[in-house]
Amino acid sequence: MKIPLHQKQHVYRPNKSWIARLHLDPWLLLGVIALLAVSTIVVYSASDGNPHIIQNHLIRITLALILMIIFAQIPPHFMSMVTPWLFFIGILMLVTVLLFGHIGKGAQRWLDFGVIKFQPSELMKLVLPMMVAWLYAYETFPPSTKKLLQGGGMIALTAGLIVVEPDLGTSLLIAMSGLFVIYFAGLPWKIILGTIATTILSAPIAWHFMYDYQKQRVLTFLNPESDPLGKGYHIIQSKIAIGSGGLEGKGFMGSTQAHLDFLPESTTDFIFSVYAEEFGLIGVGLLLLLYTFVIGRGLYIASRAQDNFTRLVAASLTMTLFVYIFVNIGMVSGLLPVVGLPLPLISYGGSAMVTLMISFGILMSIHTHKKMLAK
Amino acid sequence: MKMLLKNLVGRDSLVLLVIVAVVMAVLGRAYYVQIHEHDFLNSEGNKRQIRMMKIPAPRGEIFDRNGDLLALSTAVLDIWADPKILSQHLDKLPILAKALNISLEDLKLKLKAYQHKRFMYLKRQALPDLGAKLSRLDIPGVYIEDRFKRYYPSGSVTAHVVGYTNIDDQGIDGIEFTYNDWLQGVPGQEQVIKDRAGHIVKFVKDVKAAKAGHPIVLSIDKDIQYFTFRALKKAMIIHQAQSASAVVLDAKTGEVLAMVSLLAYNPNDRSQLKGRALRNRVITDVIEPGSTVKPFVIAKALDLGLIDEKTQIQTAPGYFKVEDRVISDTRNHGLLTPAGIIKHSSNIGVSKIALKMTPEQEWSLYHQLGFGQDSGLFLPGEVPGHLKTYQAWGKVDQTSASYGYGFNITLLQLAHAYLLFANHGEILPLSLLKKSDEHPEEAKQVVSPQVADKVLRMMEAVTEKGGTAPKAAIEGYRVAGKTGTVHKTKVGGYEKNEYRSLFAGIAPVSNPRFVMAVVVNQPSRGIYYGGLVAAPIFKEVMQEALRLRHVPFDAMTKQQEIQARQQALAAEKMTPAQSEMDSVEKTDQRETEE
Repeated sequence: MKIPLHQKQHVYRPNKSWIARLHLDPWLLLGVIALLAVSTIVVYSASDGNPHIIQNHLIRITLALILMIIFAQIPPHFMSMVTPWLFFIGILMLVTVLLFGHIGKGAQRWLDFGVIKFQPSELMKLVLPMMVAWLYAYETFPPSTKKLLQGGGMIALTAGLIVVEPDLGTSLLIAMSGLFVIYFAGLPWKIILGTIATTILSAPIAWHFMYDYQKQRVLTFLNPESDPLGKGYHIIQSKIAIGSGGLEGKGFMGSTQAHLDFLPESTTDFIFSVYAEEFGLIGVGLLLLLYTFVIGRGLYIASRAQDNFTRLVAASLTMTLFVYIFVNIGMVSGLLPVVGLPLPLISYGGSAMVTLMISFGILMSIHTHKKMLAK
Repeated sequence: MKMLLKNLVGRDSLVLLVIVAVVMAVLGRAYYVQIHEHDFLNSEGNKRQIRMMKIPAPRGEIFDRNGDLLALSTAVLDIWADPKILSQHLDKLPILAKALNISLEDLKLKLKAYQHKRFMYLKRQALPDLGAKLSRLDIPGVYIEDRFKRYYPSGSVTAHVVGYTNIDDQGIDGIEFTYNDWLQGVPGQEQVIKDRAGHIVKFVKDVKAAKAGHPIVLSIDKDIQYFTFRALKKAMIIHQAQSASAVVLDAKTGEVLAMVSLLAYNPNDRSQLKGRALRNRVITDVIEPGSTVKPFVIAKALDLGLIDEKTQIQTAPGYFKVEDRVISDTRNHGLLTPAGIIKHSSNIGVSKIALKMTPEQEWSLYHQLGFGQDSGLFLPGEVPGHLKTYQAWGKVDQTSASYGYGFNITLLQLAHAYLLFANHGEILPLSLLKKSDEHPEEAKQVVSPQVADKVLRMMEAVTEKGGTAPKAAIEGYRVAGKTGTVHKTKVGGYEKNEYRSLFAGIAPVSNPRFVMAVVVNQPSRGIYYGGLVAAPIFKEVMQEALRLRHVPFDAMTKQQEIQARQQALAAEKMTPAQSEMDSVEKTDQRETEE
């Protein structure tokens, strides 16, 4: 197609690098790529160099990077526009999953489209915070009680549909991402403090009403050695892996706990233990540094956002990432109870990685699609 | 708007504070686990991975007196499975069944039967190459363990003496049993790294080396053992006998050179390890020795001075009444010297000599010979036989005991007693282990050397023409011996038509080297005299043994004999020799009673 010469001359062409032109944030990109590199190394070791797994991992990383770049191109105001529709579709899908979903590993989480299997809860990880942000973005501050109730209702509905799949872990984390939005949107302190106080006070009462097996889980968490062959088994093996790493670690491919098959789920949920055993406390420090850098950059992007919607979305996505990271590390090192949750960007696994990379795409889009304002 | 900003800044600071706090908490936790608890957790990890494994120790070898192997240990594998793990991999069963060479159905049934257990053997004593194959297949829940298996190169020939081990390599018969503690090795220990499934991933170090068991050198001569085995087997077939056994002793040392019992079994084939064939009849079966004990009675009488070699005993008219019993000979032999009594195996003659003794004298003879007592070999299943105390002996007991009825002994005890004639009246202790010194101090003088030598010469007549066992004669050697043919006992009496054929002999007479006793149980082809059934076995074995040991001739060979005879014929016309059959002892049948 031919473009008339005079029109071409008037096209605005700022002198930008290819990164800027692709709407990518170089710092965030650096952090993400560094984490993906670590991930590849650890997955290689944890899978015992299984070529099939390595190949799959690299393909997924590539696909996820492409998706990240695609999402970075979508202007935030467009996202804001389609958010209510996406939310509606998401809720519809969650209902469909409950009715016709594909059952895998004892839970009904998947929609089978023939070509690909899709997990609607992954979609909701992104859409729910965006929806709640949309709700508050164009309102006055602080949000009215009505809006707060609306937001709470959306969170409750989404979390409720996921919890019955059943998938308690994901449901709690998605609820968390919505609550972050409400927090940043300006939930009154009274309510925040009141909720925290109520939770703490109600714990003994909840304990009283818990079923025996639930109490058992809590007790096992508090003292994993009390049930070394059952619930405590994973945690004990994981602590042994982390602990035997020492300061410097056993070196690449040196994790005996993983290679001798003592560590469960060594490529997914417990990959941090493999990393800690092989690279020691020094490696753990470096990884935490890397994560903190990425989170810091995310929060910086939120702080520099131009409107409420993007600010809330960026802050919520970043904080959710933070929660994911530390819940996983806390779990495998015995600080938190065992919930099935991968380590973001490091664990081997498809859908979580894709969702995460899309959220980085959204962050980059927020940071790079700014209206030129005269200062 | 200002208020809004202030509020939001407060919120952001709180968030940052929380992030810093969490990161510090996680770092602190990592420090605590990785540095503070490092030693504990590291040793916990080692506990899970490092395992002590038993290294099996081979049993000591068993050699014959010439250093030939009779038993050795070879490495094999026991293959076992954890049914709980294996049953989670049912798709692997077909290849597993194929590798083990068992049917899939059997494997499935076995897995089902053991489904609640954590251990089941899949195959024991498998060859090492199967282990290599299985570890390539790497089927979860299937494990391989090193073991040792006994192998017996001479198989059934030495089966009863050497014995065998059970599947756990423990001796349960023969020498394997008697000397189990000595033969058994001490297992060692090694340190290995195992994965969660129990597969050995890496060898760390030997903690304690496995110590092989001690070897044993038996007195058995594998070649003589084999000749004995072959001769017995042949006789078993020719005479359709129920069983047969023989034992060969070294006349000078009391060592057992051969001990064979038929029916035999192959100790290398586990399916054969049952039933009658396992009996080592030389030591487990009691027999009434019959006429084979007559030379002892005569020797004792000579020793006590009750008779001398010229004493004439009247055996006419061929029967003799003792209390209510009638003792008879095969025919009327008339007046007989002690030599004649032995040559013709006269029951009347030996009975009359026995009656010259007190019951105590006769009993103590048998007691000194070791009858009714343990042989000292300590082989499992050995019986001492039975000898009534002399207080209970009447005249009938005295006479029947003199021709070998009314008490029972083992074949080993009979051969042992015959050492007396080979050793100038001394009886040496028996030994199944090779002796280092040739002069055992424990020899027991039973009769004077002169008497023993005299009776030995009398027994020579048995194998000469006109004796009861010319078939025991060996060309070129002087051979002494005594036949026996006894009715088999049954409950409350004797079988009329079932016999045991016995022969006990010594060769060569001038310087005895071997003592051998043979029994053939229930020959059923109509021939049953000891001189026809057992004596040829003696001859066949002795001939080979003498040749094998390069024992010099002490008599004329056939060629020399023919020359001598031709010269004699030339000198005076002589009638040709009687046929052998005519000279054979007809019977030393016991008088039937009631």
